Amino acid sequence: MQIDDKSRETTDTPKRMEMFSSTGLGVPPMPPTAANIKDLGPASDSPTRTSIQAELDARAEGISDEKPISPFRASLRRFARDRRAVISLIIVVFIFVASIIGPFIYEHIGPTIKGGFSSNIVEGPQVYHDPIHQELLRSDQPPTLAYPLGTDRVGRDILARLLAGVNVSVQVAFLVLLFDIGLGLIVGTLAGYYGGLIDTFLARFTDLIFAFPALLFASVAAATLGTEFTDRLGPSGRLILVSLALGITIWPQMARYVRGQTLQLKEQQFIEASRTVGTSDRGIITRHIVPNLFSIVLTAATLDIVGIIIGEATISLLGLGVQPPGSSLGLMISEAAPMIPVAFHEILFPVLTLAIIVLCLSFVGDGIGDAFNPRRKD
Amino acid sequence: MNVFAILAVVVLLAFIAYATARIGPRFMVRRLAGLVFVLLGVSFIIFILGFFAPGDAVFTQLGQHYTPQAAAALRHAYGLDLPWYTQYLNYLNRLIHFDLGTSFTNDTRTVWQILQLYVPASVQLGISGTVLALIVGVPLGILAAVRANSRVDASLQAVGLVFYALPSFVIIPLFFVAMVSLHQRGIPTLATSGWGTIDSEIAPIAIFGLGIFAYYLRLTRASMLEVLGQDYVRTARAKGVRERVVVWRHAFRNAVIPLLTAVGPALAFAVVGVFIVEDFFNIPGIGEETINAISQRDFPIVQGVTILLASAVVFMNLVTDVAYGLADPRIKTQ
Amino acid sequence: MAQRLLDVQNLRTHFFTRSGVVKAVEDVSFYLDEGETLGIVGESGSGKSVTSLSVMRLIVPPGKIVGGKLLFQDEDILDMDEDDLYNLRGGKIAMIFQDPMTSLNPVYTVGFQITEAIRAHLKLDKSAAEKRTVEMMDRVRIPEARGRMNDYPHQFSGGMRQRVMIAMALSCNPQLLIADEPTTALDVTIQAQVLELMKGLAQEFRTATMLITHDLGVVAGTCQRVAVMYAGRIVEEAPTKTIFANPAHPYTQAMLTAVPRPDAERGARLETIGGQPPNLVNLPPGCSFAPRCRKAQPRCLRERPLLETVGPEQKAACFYPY
Ligand SMILES: Nc1ncnc2c1ncn2[C@@H]1O[C@H](COP(=O)(O)OP(=O)(O)OP(=O)(O)O)[C@@H](O)[C@H]1O
Ligand SMILES: [Mg+2]
Repeated sequence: MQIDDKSRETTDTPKRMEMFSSTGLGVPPMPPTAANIKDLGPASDSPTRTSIQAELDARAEGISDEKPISPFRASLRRFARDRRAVISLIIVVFIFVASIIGPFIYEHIGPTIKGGFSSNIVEGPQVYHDPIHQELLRSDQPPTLAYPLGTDRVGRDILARLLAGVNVSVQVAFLVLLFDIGLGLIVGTLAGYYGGLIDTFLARFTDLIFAFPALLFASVAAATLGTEFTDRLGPSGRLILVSLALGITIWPQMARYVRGQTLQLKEQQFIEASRTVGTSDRGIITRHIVPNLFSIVLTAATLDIVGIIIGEATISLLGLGVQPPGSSLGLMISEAAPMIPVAFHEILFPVLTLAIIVLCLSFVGDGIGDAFNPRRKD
Repeated sequence: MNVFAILAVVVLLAFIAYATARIGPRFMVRRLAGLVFVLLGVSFIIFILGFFAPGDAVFTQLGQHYTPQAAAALRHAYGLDLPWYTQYLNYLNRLIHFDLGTSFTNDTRTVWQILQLYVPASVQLGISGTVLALIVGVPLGILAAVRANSRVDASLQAVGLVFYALPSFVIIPLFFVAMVSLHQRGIPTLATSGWGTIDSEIAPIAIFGLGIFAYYLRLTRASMLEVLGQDYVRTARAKGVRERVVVWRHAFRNAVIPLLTAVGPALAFAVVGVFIVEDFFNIPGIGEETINAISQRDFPIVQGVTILLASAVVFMNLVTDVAYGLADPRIKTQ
Repeated sequence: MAQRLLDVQNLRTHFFTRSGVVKAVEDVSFYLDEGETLGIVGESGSGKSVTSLSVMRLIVPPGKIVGGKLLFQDEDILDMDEDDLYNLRGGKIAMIFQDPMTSLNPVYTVGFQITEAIRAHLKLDKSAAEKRTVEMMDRVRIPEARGRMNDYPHQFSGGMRQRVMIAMALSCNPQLLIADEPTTALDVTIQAQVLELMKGLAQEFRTATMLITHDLGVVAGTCQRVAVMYAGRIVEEAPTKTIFANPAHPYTQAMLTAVPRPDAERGARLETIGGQPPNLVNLPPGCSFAPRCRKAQPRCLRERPLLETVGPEQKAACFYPY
C-alpha cells in the first residue's frame, strides 16, 4: 500500500516563503558584495588596497600550487606516492622484461660442462641453457654454477624454463588484453551510449558467461580445438586458442565497467553541451567519452592481467594449454608436483615466481584503482 | 527418470512457488526467463564445441577394433551421423527428460551414474570448505571494518589480499613442501592424498576454504565499511543504542544484502578451486573425472558436468536473488 | 533567568586525513539556555555539522575532538563514560539530520525504529513502547499512525520521513534537540510545515533547540539567538533581531545581502557570496574571511581577530566591525 504523502502535505501550504523573505526586521541597506568589488578595481578609499590585493587574490584562489594540474597528472602523482604499488610495478616490469630479453643474455652466461649420455660432449651455455634441452644424467639437480636454479626431472635448466614460462604468460596476457580492451570498449560504449539491442545483448551474454564456469569453457575449447589450431597456426596456435578462450570469458566484465562509466558520462553537462552545438554521436564518443574511460579501463585491465596469467597457468596445469616440451608456469608446476618429496626446489621456483607476479600485480592494481578513481576516499 | 531427478524438480517447484508468493510474480517470471535462456545458451555452446571438434570419440572407443563399418555403425547408434541442428534438438529433448546420455569411453555407464558416483565428494569438499570460510571470514571481515585502519585491520587485509590473489595451485605446493620437510624431521603430518577419512579431508577442505575465506573477508569488510558510513548508522548511534546493536542490528543486517549477491560468483570461483584441489590431493571427485573426460574427448560427460555446473550457478543466482528480495524490503514493492 | 543547559567552551575538532589535518571546528564557544532556540548559520563546510556531532560525541575517525569543554547541565560530556553517553544520546540530547531519505534504516519498519529509541531510554515494555510510538507518530501528524507503523521508510515521502525522525527524536523527552538542516532536503512547500511542526513540538516538550541552517529566513522565524560560523569558527553571535538590524561582521553582512529576493525559487543559499571558503588544512595566519572581505586591511592578514563583545549582547570576530 502506497500512501501519497506529498499530495496530502501540499493541501494546506501556508505562505511561508513570503513570510521569510520579508522578515520585517529592517534589513539594512547593503554594500556591494565581495564579488562585485573586484570589478570596481582597487578601492579608492584605501591607499593600502593595491599592496594587499595581490596577496588577497592569491589566497582567494585557494591552494594555488595544486590547482592547475590535469586530473590525469594528478592521478599519476598520487600513484607515484604509493610506495608499495610503485615497487611492485618495478618488480613486475623487471620480470616481464627479463622473460623477453633475458634468454638472449642467459645463453651466454655459464661454464662449459660435459654433457650427453656418457658425459663426453663438451657443451657451452648456448646448449644447456635452452629451455627444452635435456641432460638426463643431470636430472633433479639442486642449484649449481651451471644451473643457477637447478634442473628438473629430465635435466632441463629450471631458470631457462622459468624465463620461457613467464614469456608465455606475457604473450597470453598481451593477446587477451587486446581482445578484452578492444571488445570491451566497443561493446561497452555502444551499449552505454545507445542502449537498446546491443545493451540487451551485452546483458544476456554476460549472464551466460557468468553462469558458465570460465575455466571449464576455456579447458573444453583448448581440448577440442587445440590440435586444429596447432595444425593451422603452427606451434603458437595453442597459445592463440587459449588466449581467445580466456578473452571470451573475460571481456564482458570490462564491457560492463565501460558501459557504466559511459552511462555516467552521457549525463554530464559538457556532453549535453556539445550535443546542442551539433557534434555527431561519433564525435561525442571518440572525443568526449572514450578519453574519459582511460582510468576505468586501466584499472580493470591491470586486475584482468592477474586473472589471465592465473587462467593460462591453470589450463596448462590441467594439461590443456601449453604442451610439453614447451614451458609454462602451470606446466612446470604440474610436472614438478610428483617430485616434491625428492627435489622440492623444482616446484618452489615456478610457484614463487607466479606468487610474486600475482601479488605484485594485485598491489599495482590496487594502487591504480586508488590513484585513478576520482571518488577515492581520503 | 530416476528418483533423484523427480526430487530435484519437486524441490525447485516448491521453492519457486514460495518465492513467487513472497516477492511477486513479475520478478520471478523475469528471473526464470533469464534462467532458461542461460541454460539454453550454455548447452548450445558446449554442444557446438563438442560437435565441431576434430578427432573422433568413436575412434578412441573402438581402439584396435577399428574398422570403417564398425565406426559407422557406432556413429549411427549414437546419432552422430545426423546434421548438427537435429543432434542439438535431440540433445535438448533428452535433457528435458533428464537423460544426459552415455559415456563414450565406458558405455556401460550413463552420465547420471557417473555424476552420482563422483559429485558427492566434490560437493562435500565444496560445501564444507565454503561453510568454514563463511564462519571465519564474515566475522573477521566485520572486525576489520569496525576496527578500520587499526593494526588488526591491516593484518587481516594483508592476509585477505594474499589468499585472495594467490591461486590454490600456488598454496598447495607450498603446503606439500612444508609437509614433506616436517615429515622428514619425524613430525606427524596431515595426509596429502585421498578422501573419505577425517585425516585425509582436513587439508584439502582447509586449503580450498582459504581462497573463499579471503574472498568473503574482503567482501564483508568493504560492505560493512560502506554501511557503517551511512546516515542511518549515525541515526542509530544518535538515539543511544549500544555499539554492539549498531554493528549487528543496523549495519550488518544491511551489509548482508551485497554479500548475498556475491554467492553466485563465489560459486563459479569455487569450481576452479575444487578442480585444482582434487587434482593435487587425488580426490575421486567430479573435477578429476572431468579433466580426464576432457582429455579423452568423452563429450557426454563434459556436457553433463557443464550443464550441471551452469544449473547450479544459475540456481544459486536465483536463490540469492530471492534471498535478496526477502532481505531488502525495498524490492517487494518496486 | 533561565538555567544554562549547554555550555560549549573552546571546542576544537579536527580530521586527520591523508592530505593533512582538517581543522573543521576551531575554538568554538557558545551556550544554550533551557528552552531556548539557537540558530547556527554559515555556508557549506563551515563546520556546523561537525560542531553538532561533537556535542553528541558522534565524531568518528579520522575525526577527533582535540580540545575544549562540552558542559551539559554542568557535566562535561567529554568526561562521560560509555554508559553515560548511551543515556545522553537520544535520552537527553536528540538529533535530527539533514537527509530524511538516508537517515532511516531501510530494512526496518519506522515503528520498530521509533520503538527502539524509546526502549533504549524509557523503562517501558514492548507494548507500552509501541503505544508511545503510535502516540508520537500522531503528534507529528502522520495520518493513520497505527497502520503506518509497520511500513518501511521507502514507503514514506521525504516530509513524512522527517516527521518520523522528529517523532523519534522527541520520543524520550530530551532537554536538547539538535536539528541539522532538518528541512534543506525537502520540497519548499513542505519545509515550512515540518519546521512549524518542529517548533511547535519543541515548545510543547520544553525542549531547547539548536537549529542549524543555511536559511536566514528560517532563523528569523524561529530562533532567539544566532551564531554565525565561518571556516570552523564562530565569527558573530547575537540575538536574532540584532543580527538582522545591525550585523557587525562583514561576512554576516554579505550573507544578509545574499538572502534571495521573494521571487527566488529555493531557500536562501549562501553560495552567492563571491569567492570560495578557505581550505581548512593549511589556514594562513590572519582572519580566514579576509580574502573575500570588502573591508580587509593589512592587519587582517597578519592577526586573527578574536570573538569579542562589540555591542549589547553582540559579539563579533572582526577588527573593523559594522
Ligand atoms: N569525515 C571527514 N573527513 C575529513 N574532513 C571532514 C570530514 N567530515 C567533515 N569534514 C570537513 O569538516 C569541515 C566542516 O564540515 P561540516 O560538515 O561541519 O560543514 P557544514 O557546515 O555542516 O556544511 P553543510 O552546510 O554542507 O552541511 C568541512 O570542510 C569538511 O571538509
Ligand atoms: Mg552539515
